[in-house]
Amino acid sequence: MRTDALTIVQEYRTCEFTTLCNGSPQTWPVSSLLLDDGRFLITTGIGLPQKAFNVRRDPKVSLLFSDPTAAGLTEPGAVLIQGDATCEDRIVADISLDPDLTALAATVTARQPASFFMTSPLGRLLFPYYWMRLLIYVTPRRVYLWPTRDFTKPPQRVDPQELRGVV
Amino acid sequence: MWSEAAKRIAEYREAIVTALDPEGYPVSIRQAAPRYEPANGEFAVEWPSGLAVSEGPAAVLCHFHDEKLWNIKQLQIKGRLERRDDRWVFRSTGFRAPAASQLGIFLRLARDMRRAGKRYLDRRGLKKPAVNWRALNALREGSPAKIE
Repeated sequence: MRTDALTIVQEYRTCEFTTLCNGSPQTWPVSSLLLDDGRFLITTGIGLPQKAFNVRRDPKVSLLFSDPTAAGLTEPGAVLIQGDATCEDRIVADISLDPDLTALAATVTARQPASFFMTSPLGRLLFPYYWMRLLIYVTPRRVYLWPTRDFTKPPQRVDPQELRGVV
Repeated sequence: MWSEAAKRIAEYREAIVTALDPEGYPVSIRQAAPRYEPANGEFAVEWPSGLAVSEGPAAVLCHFHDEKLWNIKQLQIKGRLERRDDRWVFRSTGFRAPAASQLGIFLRLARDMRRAGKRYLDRRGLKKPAVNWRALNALREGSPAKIE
Protein backbone atom coordinates (compact mmCIF):
# COMPACT_ATOMS: atom_id res chain seq x y z
CA MET A 1 0.00 0.00 0.00
CA ARG A 2 1.32 3.43 -0.76
CA THR A 3 2.98 4.93 2.25
CA ASP A 4 0.73 7.95 2.63
CA ALA A 5 -2.49 5.94 2.82
CA LEU A 6 -0.93 3.33 5.08
CA THR A 7 0.42 6.00 7.40
CA ILE A 8 -2.99 7.58 7.64
CA VAL A 9 -4.84 4.39 8.63
CA GLN A 10 -2.16 3.49 11.15
CA GLU A 11 -1.44 6.86 12.70
CA TYR A 12 -4.81 8.63 12.87
CA ARG A 13 -6.20 8.24 16.37
CA THR A 14 -9.77 7.76 15.24
CA CYS A 15 -11.79 7.03 12.16
CA GLU A 16 -15.44 7.72 11.46
CA PHE A 17 -17.10 4.31 11.38
CA THR A 18 -20.48 4.04 9.68
CA THR A 19 -22.92 1.16 9.98
CA LEU A 20 -26.47 0.91 8.67
CA CYS A 21 -29.59 0.81 10.83
CA ASN A 22 -32.72 0.04 8.82
CA GLY A 23 -30.96 1.46 5.77
CA SER A 24 -29.87 4.70 7.42
CA PRO A 25 -26.23 5.47 8.20
CA GLN A 26 -25.07 5.83 11.79
CA THR A 27 -21.56 7.20 12.26
CA TRP A 28 -19.33 7.09 15.33
CA PRO A 29 -15.71 8.01 15.94
CA VAL A 30 -13.79 4.84 16.85
CA SER A 31 -10.24 3.55 17.11
CA SER A 32 -9.31 0.75 14.73
CA LEU A 33 -6.38 -1.59 14.09
CA LEU A 34 -5.15 -2.75 10.69
CA LEU A 35 -4.44 -6.48 10.86
CA ASP A 36 -1.85 -8.42 8.88
CA ASP A 37 -4.52 -10.00 6.67
CA GLY A 38 -5.74 -6.55 5.57
CA ARG A 39 -8.86 -6.48 7.72
CA PHE A 40 -9.58 -3.83 10.34
CA LEU A 41 -10.51 -4.64 13.93
CA ILE A 42 -12.96 -2.40 15.76
CA THR A 43 -14.39 -3.18 19.16
CA THR A 44 -17.38 -2.00 21.14
CA GLY A 45 -18.56 -2.76 24.64
CA ILE A 46 -21.83 -4.57 25.27
CA GLY A 47 -22.95 -1.32 26.87
CA LEU A 48 -22.79 0.31 23.42
CA PRO A 49 -23.91 -2.57 21.22
CA GLN A 50 -25.71 -0.70 18.42
CA LYS A 51 -22.75 -0.99 16.02
CA ALA A 52 -22.70 -4.75 16.54
CA PHE A 53 -26.47 -5.06 16.05
CA ASN A 54 -26.26 -3.06 12.83
CA VAL A 55 -23.37 -5.09 11.39
CA ARG A 56 -25.13 -8.37 12.13
CA ARG A 57 -28.18 -7.18 10.17
CA ASP A 58 -26.31 -5.42 7.35
CA PRO A 59 -22.57 -5.91 6.84
CA LYS A 60 -22.02 -2.85 4.65
CA VAL A 61 -19.84 -0.32 6.48
CA SER A 62 -17.31 2.42 5.89
CA LEU A 63 -14.30 3.86 7.69
CA LEU A 64 -13.20 7.43 7.06
CA PHE A 65 -9.76 8.36 8.37
CA SER A 66 -9.92 12.12 8.21
CA ASP A 67 -8.92 13.61 11.58
CA PRO A 68 -5.13 14.10 11.79
CA THR A 69 -5.14 15.39 15.37
CA ALA A 70 -2.10 14.00 17.22
CA ALA A 71 -0.95 11.94 14.24
CA GLY A 72 2.13 14.09 13.77
CA LEU A 73 1.81 14.44 10.00
CA THR A 74 2.79 17.71 8.38
CA GLU A 75 0.73 17.15 5.22
CA PRO A 76 -2.17 14.98 6.32
CA GLY A 77 -4.51 13.31 3.89
CA ALA A 78 -7.64 11.22 4.26
CA VAL A 79 -8.64 7.65 3.46
CA LEU A 80 -12.13 6.23 2.96
CA ILE A 81 -12.62 2.49 3.14
CA GLN A 82 -15.84 0.74 2.21
CA GLY A 83 -16.18 -2.85 3.25
CA ASP A 84 -18.08 -5.73 4.73
CA ALA A 85 -18.12 -6.30 8.48
CA THR A 86 -18.77 -9.25 10.74
CA CYS A 87 -19.44 -9.34 14.46
CA GLU A 88 -19.61 -12.67 16.21
CA ASP A 89 -21.67 -13.35 19.32
CA ARG A 90 -18.61 -13.97 21.49
CA ILE A 91 -18.07 -11.48 24.33
CA VAL A 92 -14.40 -11.00 25.13
CA ALA A 93 -13.85 -10.03 28.77
CA ASP A 94 -10.33 -11.42 28.94
CA ILE A 95 -8.28 -9.48 26.42
CA SER A 96 -5.35 -11.85 26.83
CA LEU A 97 -7.36 -14.49 24.95
CA ASP A 98 -7.33 -12.47 21.75
CA PRO A 99 -3.96 -11.17 20.50
CA ASP A 100 -5.58 -8.75 18.06
CA LEU A 101 -7.71 -7.22 20.80
CA THR A 102 -4.65 -7.04 23.05
CA ALA A 103 -2.81 -5.14 20.33
CA LEU A 104 -5.71 -2.76 19.77
CA ALA A 105 -6.15 -2.14 23.50
CA ALA A 106 -2.41 -1.51 23.88
CA THR A 107 -2.48 1.00 21.04
CA VAL A 108 -5.51 2.83 22.39
CA THR A 109 -4.30 2.97 25.97
CA ALA A 110 -0.90 4.27 24.84
CA ARG A 111 -2.56 6.99 22.81
CA GLN A 112 -5.28 7.73 25.37
CA PRO A 113 -3.67 7.59 28.83
CA ALA A 114 -6.85 8.78 30.54
CA SER A 115 -8.65 5.65 29.36
CA PHE A 116 -7.09 3.85 32.33
CA PHE A 117 -9.93 5.44 34.27
CA MET A 118 -11.98 2.49 33.04
CA THR A 119 -9.83 0.11 35.08
CA SER A 120 -9.97 2.26 38.25
CA PRO A 121 -12.40 1.44 41.07
CA LEU A 122 -14.65 4.36 40.10
CA GLY A 123 -14.50 3.45 36.42
CA ARG A 124 -15.39 -0.15 37.18
CA LEU A 125 -18.31 1.03 39.31
CA LEU A 126 -19.71 3.46 36.74
CA PHE A 127 -18.96 1.39 33.63
CA PRO A 128 -19.15 -2.24 34.73
CA TYR A 129 -19.67 -3.54 31.18
CA TYR A 130 -17.01 -1.45 29.44
CA TRP A 131 -14.40 -4.24 29.24
CA MET A 132 -16.88 -6.81 27.94
CA ARG A 133 -16.10 -6.36 24.29
CA LEU A 134 -17.61 -7.38 20.97
CA LEU A 135 -15.18 -7.66 18.05
CA ILE A 136 -16.04 -6.24 14.65
CA TYR A 137 -13.88 -7.19 11.66
CA VAL A 138 -14.04 -5.15 8.45
CA THR A 139 -12.87 -6.56 5.12
CA PRO A 140 -12.11 -3.65 2.76
CA ARG A 141 -13.75 -3.67 -0.69
CA ARG A 142 -12.85 -0.21 -1.95
CA VAL A 143 -10.22 2.26 -0.77
CA TYR A 144 -10.06 5.97 -1.64
CA LEU A 145 -7.29 8.43 -0.85
CA TRP A 146 -7.30 12.22 -0.66
CA PRO A 147 -3.60 13.09 -0.44
CA THR A 148 -4.24 16.62 0.86
CA ARG A 149 -7.54 16.26 2.74
CA ASP A 150 -9.20 18.44 0.11
CA PHE A 151 -12.58 16.76 -0.17
CA THR A 152 -13.65 18.97 -3.02
CA LYS A 153 -11.18 17.06 -5.22
CA PRO A 154 -11.82 13.60 -6.66
CA PRO A 155 -10.21 10.86 -4.56
CA GLN A 156 -7.59 8.43 -5.84
CA ARG A 157 -8.36 4.73 -5.88
CA VAL A 158 -6.09 2.38 -3.93
CA ASP A 159 -6.08 -1.41 -4.35
CA PRO A 160 -7.40 -2.99 -1.12
CA GLN A 161 -4.93 -5.85 -1.64
CA GLU A 162 -2.21 -3.37 -0.76
CA LEU A 163 -3.49 -3.42 2.84
CA ARG A 164 -2.39 -7.04 3.27
CA GLY A 165 0.86 -8.08 4.88
CA VAL A 166 2.02 -4.60 5.80
CA VAL A 167 1.88 -4.84 9.61
CA MET B 1 -35.10 22.13 17.05
CA TRP B 2 -32.80 23.21 14.20
CA SER B 3 -31.69 26.39 15.91
CA GLU B 4 -30.17 24.26 18.67
CA ALA B 5 -28.53 22.02 16.06
CA ALA B 6 -27.18 25.12 14.30
CA LYS B 7 -25.75 26.40 17.56
CA ARG B 8 -24.05 23.11 18.34
CA ILE B 9 -22.68 22.45 14.86
CA ALA B 10 -21.12 25.92 14.84
CA GLU B 11 -18.81 24.73 17.63
CA TYR B 12 -16.99 22.54 15.11
CA ARG B 13 -14.80 23.52 12.18
CA GLU B 14 -15.79 20.50 10.10
CA ALA B 15 -18.58 17.96 9.77
CA ILE B 16 -18.55 14.44 8.41
CA VAL B 17 -21.39 13.87 5.98
CA THR B 18 -22.31 10.27 5.28
CA ALA B 19 -24.79 8.94 2.73
CA LEU B 20 -25.05 5.75 0.66
CA ASP B 21 -23.53 4.94 -2.69
CA PRO B 22 -25.55 3.25 -5.48
CA GLU B 23 -24.55 -0.19 -4.14
CA GLY B 24 -25.83 0.66 -0.67
CA TYR B 25 -22.46 1.07 1.00
CA PRO B 26 -21.95 4.06 3.31
CA VAL B 27 -19.75 6.80 1.89
CA SER B 28 -18.37 9.72 3.91
CA ILE B 29 -16.61 13.02 3.33
CA ARG B 30 -15.57 15.93 5.52
CA GLN B 31 -17.28 19.21 4.88
CA ALA B 32 -15.42 22.32 6.00
CA ALA B 33 -17.43 24.94 7.89
CA PRO B 34 -20.93 23.81 6.94
CA ARG B 35 -23.36 26.73 6.69
CA TYR B 36 -26.19 25.17 8.62
CA GLU B 37 -29.50 26.99 8.30
CA PRO B 38 -31.30 27.20 11.68
CA ALA B 39 -34.61 27.90 9.94
CA ASN B 40 -34.83 24.63 8.04
CA GLY B 41 -31.94 22.43 9.19
CA GLU B 42 -30.29 22.35 5.78
CA PHE B 43 -26.83 23.01 4.43
CA ALA B 44 -25.17 22.69 1.06
CA VAL B 45 -22.76 19.79 0.63
CA GLU B 46 -19.89 19.99 -1.81
CA TRP B 47 -19.65 16.36 -2.87
CA PRO B 48 -16.48 15.45 -4.81
CA SER B 49 -16.64 14.03 -8.30
CA GLY B 50 -15.30 10.51 -8.58
CA LEU B 51 -17.05 9.35 -5.42
CA ALA B 52 -20.46 7.86 -6.18
CA VAL B 53 -23.33 8.88 -3.91
CA SER B 54 -27.11 8.60 -4.03
CA GLU B 55 -29.99 10.63 -2.74
CA GLY B 56 -31.43 9.16 0.43
CA PRO B 57 -30.73 8.57 4.12
CA ALA B 58 -27.74 10.48 5.45
CA ALA B 59 -26.11 11.50 8.70
CA VAL B 60 -23.82 14.19 10.02
CA LEU B 61 -21.20 13.62 12.69
CA CYS B 62 -19.05 16.30 14.28
CA HIS B 63 -16.46 15.24 16.81
CA PHE B 64 -13.37 16.44 18.61
CA HIS B 65 -10.55 14.95 20.63
CA ASP B 66 -7.34 16.50 21.89
CA GLU B 67 -3.75 15.35 21.42
CA LYS B 68 -4.21 12.74 24.15
CA LEU B 69 -7.40 11.41 22.63
CA TRP B 70 -9.38 12.95 25.46
CA ASN B 71 -11.81 15.85 26.02
CA ILE B 72 -13.98 14.08 23.52
CA LYS B 73 -17.16 15.68 22.28
CA GLN B 74 -19.46 14.88 19.44
CA LEU B 75 -22.87 15.45 17.93
CA GLN B 76 -24.94 13.57 15.42
CA ILE B 77 -27.73 14.70 13.14
CA LYS B 78 -29.97 12.40 11.15
CA GLY B 79 -31.15 13.48 7.75
CA ARG B 80 -31.27 12.97 4.03
CA LEU B 81 -28.98 13.91 1.19
CA GLU B 82 -30.99 15.47 -1.59
CA ARG B 83 -30.19 16.64 -5.10
CA ARG B 84 -31.48 20.17 -5.79
CA ASP B 85 -30.81 21.26 -9.36
CA ASP B 86 -27.04 20.88 -9.67
CA ARG B 87 -26.12 20.76 -6.00
CA TRP B 88 -26.33 18.47 -2.99
CA VAL B 89 -28.15 19.47 0.18
CA PHE B 90 -28.23 17.80 3.59
CA ARG B 91 -31.69 18.12 5.14
CA SER B 92 -32.01 17.37 8.86
CA THR B 93 -34.72 15.03 10.10
CA GLY B 94 -33.61 14.33 13.68
CA PHE B 95 -31.35 15.78 16.33
CA ARG B 96 -30.86 15.02 20.00
CA ALA B 97 -28.86 17.70 21.73
CA PRO B 98 -25.98 16.46 23.87
CA ALA B 99 -26.15 17.31 27.58
CA ALA B 100 -25.07 20.86 28.27
CA SER B 101 -22.12 19.95 30.48
CA GLN B 102 -19.34 17.39 30.14
CA LEU B 103 -20.35 15.98 33.51
CA GLY B 104 -23.90 15.61 32.25
CA ILE B 105 -22.69 13.79 29.14
CA PHE B 106 -20.51 11.53 31.27
CA LEU B 107 -23.28 10.59 33.69
CA ARG B 108 -25.80 10.01 30.91
CA LEU B 109 -23.30 7.74 29.17
CA ALA B 110 -22.62 5.78 32.35
CA ARG B 111 -26.34 5.27 32.95
CA ASP B 112 -27.10 4.28 29.36
CA MET B 113 -24.15 1.90 29.10
CA ARG B 114 -25.01 0.18 32.37
CA ARG B 115 -28.59 -0.37 31.26
CA ALA B 116 -27.62 -1.54 27.79
CA GLY B 117 -24.93 -3.90 29.05
CA LYS B 118 -27.28 -5.56 31.52
CA ARG B 119 -29.96 -5.84 28.86
CA TYR B 120 -27.50 -7.42 26.42
CA LEU B 121 -26.66 -10.18 28.87
CA ASP B 122 -30.22 -10.68 30.16
CA ARG B 123 -31.74 -11.10 26.70
CA ARG B 124 -29.22 -13.83 25.91
CA GLY B 125 -29.47 -15.52 29.29
CA LEU B 126 -25.78 -14.92 29.89
CA LYS B 127 -23.97 -14.47 33.16
CA LYS B 128 -21.71 -11.49 33.60
CA PRO B 129 -18.31 -12.64 32.31
CA ALA B 130 -15.24 -12.11 34.47
CA VAL B 131 -12.97 -9.34 33.27
CA ASN B 132 -9.24 -10.08 33.31
CA TRP B 133 -8.15 -7.04 35.32
CA ARG B 134 -4.58 -8.36 35.59
CA ALA B 135 -4.22 -8.20 31.83
CA LEU B 136 -5.60 -4.68 31.75
CA ASN B 137 -3.33 -3.59 34.58
CA ALA B 138 -0.38 -4.99 32.62
CA LEU B 139 -1.38 -2.69 29.77
CA ARG B 140 -1.43 0.21 32.21
CA GLU B 141 2.18 -0.62 33.06
CA GLY B 142 3.04 -0.66 29.37
CA SER B 143 3.99 -4.31 29.47
CA PRO B 144 1.71 -6.34 27.23
CA ALA B 145 4.17 -9.21 27.60
CA LYS B 146 2.98 -9.61 31.17
CA ILE B 147 -0.52 -10.39 30.08
CA GLU B 148 -1.51 -13.89 31.16
